[in-house]
Amino acid sequence: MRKIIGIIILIISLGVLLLAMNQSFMNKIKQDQYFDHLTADNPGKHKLYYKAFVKTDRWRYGDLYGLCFLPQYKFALEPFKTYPANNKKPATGNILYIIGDSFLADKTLAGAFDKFDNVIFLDRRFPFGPIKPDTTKNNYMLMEFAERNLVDYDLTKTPEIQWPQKNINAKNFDNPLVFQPSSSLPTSIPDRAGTILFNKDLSRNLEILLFYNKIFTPFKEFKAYINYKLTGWLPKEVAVSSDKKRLLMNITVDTSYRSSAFRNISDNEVKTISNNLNAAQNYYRSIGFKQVILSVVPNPVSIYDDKRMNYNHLLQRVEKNNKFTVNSLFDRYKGDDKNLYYRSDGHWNPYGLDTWVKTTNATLDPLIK
Amino acid sequence: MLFNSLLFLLFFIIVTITYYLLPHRFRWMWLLAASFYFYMYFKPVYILIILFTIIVDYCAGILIERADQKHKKFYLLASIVTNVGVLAYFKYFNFLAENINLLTASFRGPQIPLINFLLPIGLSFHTFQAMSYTIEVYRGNQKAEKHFGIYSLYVMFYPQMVAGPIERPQHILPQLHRENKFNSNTFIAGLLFIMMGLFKKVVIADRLGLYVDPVFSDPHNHTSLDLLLATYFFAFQIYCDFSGYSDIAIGTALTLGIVLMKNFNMPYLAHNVSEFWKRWHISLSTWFRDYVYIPLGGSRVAFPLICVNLLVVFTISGLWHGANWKYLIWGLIHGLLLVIYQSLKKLKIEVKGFTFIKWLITFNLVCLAWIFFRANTVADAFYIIGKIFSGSLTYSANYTMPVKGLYYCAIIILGLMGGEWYMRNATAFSNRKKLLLALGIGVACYFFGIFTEAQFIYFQF
Repeated sequence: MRKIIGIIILIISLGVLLLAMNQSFMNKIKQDQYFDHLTADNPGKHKLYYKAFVKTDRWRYGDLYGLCFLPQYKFALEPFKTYPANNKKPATGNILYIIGDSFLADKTLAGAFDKFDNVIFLDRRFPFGPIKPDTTKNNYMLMEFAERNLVDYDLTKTPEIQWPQKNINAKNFDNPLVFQPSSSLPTSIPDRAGTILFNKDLSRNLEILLFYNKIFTPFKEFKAYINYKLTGWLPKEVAVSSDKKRLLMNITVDTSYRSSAFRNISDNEVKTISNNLNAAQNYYRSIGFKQVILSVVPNPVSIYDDKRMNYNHLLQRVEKNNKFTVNSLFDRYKGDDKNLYYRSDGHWNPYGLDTWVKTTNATLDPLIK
Repeated sequence: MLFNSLLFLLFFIIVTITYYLLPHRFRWMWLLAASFYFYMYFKPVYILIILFTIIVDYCAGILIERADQKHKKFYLLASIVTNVGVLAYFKYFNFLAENINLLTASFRGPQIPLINFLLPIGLSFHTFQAMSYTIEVYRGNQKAEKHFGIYSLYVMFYPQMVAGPIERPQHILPQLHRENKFNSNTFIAGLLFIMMGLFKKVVIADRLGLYVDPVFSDPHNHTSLDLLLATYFFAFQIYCDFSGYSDIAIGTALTLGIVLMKNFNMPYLAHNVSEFWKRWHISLSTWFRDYVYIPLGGSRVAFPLICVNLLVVFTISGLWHGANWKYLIWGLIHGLLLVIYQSLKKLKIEVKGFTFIKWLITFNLVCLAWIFFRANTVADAFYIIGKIFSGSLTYSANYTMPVKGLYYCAIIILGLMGGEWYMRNATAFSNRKKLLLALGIGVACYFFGIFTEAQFIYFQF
């Protein structure tokens, strides 16, 4: 009997280990988990695969909740408004390119801007092809940043100009770029075996396989709750706002991180950031863009918890220091009584996005004659 | 592979069950293959270094046994030079080069290029274990191991290869040869040890690390009280981190039916520094006693020479921990404390009673030495000591750890002391009690543990 139990445990363990070693399978799980709450239910979702591996609360209630599982910050995320293309609108001959980050990723913005026929979104976090604007149109570029990402921005070090083969322009741009994690393995057998056997993500993969399922959420919440109550402990990625009403990204709070809103930033550093942004502007204008517009989304901590320590006002200082059109959000957001950011996520909520669209329209409209 | 990772949990289950399912003649192969995987998971290419020393020491053992007295010494020296050479190259070359470069830079002399590599994990541990084999064969206390696989397993046995306990061949080799039948008593005792070790690591050490690491990384922006607390907390962090590792190693080996030596015996209860070293990292301190201190003359030589020997042994012990002046100073401090203790004994200045005061002094002296061990640099260590004695009693590390977090840490440290006292005879508990305790500790680990896969501090040595 003891032997049989041993053999059963062994087989299960080997099965789990083999699954965790299969990186392309793990990448698929990660992607399905991430998009699960963003897509509507379909019959495929009820299959065993979805129930066993995809159903998770890691993303459903906000990325920050998914990191700490504090039950008092478990808020369902409201869906974003979509701005589909309006085909009935007369053609304007204007195209808007947006190079942005997670704030605008996975949003439908084609019809968000009145004076543009199309909107092409390129995600700065992942490599995309060289941009070759359509010379028969008026091309505009909007560079969107989260405030926390401004500090280390350097055109030469981002995927923006690290070009693979495909050219991107309004004619050949058909689908928004979705990042496909690479699952390619080395070609030689020993290297291949080494990559699979000594995969550095094995523990992380096992965690995803064994403990990401939503049936573990109550245990995770209990653990998070007692640890926070007893010791004030939170995972290093998360901080709680001073008024305890929302979760914040710790990289925007803890002064040991470069992107902290409270790290002392010298004028010289601001100048360097501005120079980098101006260099990007010059580059995009040189390849055919009529105008380049800067739009920086404030950190939630800068809007709701700026008295926590000495706020460095990076956003306003950079906006003041550069030479191109700015879609300034800080004062607009600061003065708004309604909540603009999810309380359990590092990003804006639908109202925050909607406000940004309106402000951006107001900035863009006068530029177009 | 880290003991506090999910991968290890699965690895442990697969290795242990398969071990008992296999016939005895295949078990060494299985354990050796598992140990290879365990080690190679850190960096596969470093297995070549271990294999090189294994081959050298295996051959040296056989040659020493067969040779006459004159040649015996030669083979032993060859083995020791190879082991120390590997250790010196990988661990001390850059340290030496940096210091020589500093000197030559002052008169614009030539600079030695540094080597850019990661230190092979646990190098000092398995090198010392390998050396103890050839020395014991030379002394005639151990027959040369003819089975290359078993000898390789002696050096590479996965539970203890990266951070000890540093074993002796007489203790381990017979256990690797014999057939270990499944025994529920030892198996459950092993599980209990594993849980106790995991508790010390993830519940105590890693929790204290949340406070200690940022404070020691930035001593200039912390007050005396912050630094004093960080020093005391570090004493328990390193103890729980290292003894936690040893407990997991002992427990893992025990589930396979192999008994490893005890490495810690409640060291912070020591009443003097000599007693501390009989309780702290026992496998290393006995290694230095048997293979360095006694060959230097031990306590049989004149008193001034005893003092010199103590200083030499503890300076080497300090350097063994890391190629850095701070470790050397740490070792030297312990050496000096022992010299003072021995001198007082020699002069028959002995105070009877006052046990608490003796304990308090010993504990604080050990903590003082820990400052050198933990600080980023020697300069930082002196700064921290100076600042602690400057006496500002405000607590400024609220963002690192709220005050309630400090209370919690104090409580778990007290709990640790009580728990260790209660568990000191854990192997004698009934199986039911052991299993229940293991389960309870496991649940506590889940709910109170910090699973950031923080590396064990002693892995770097």
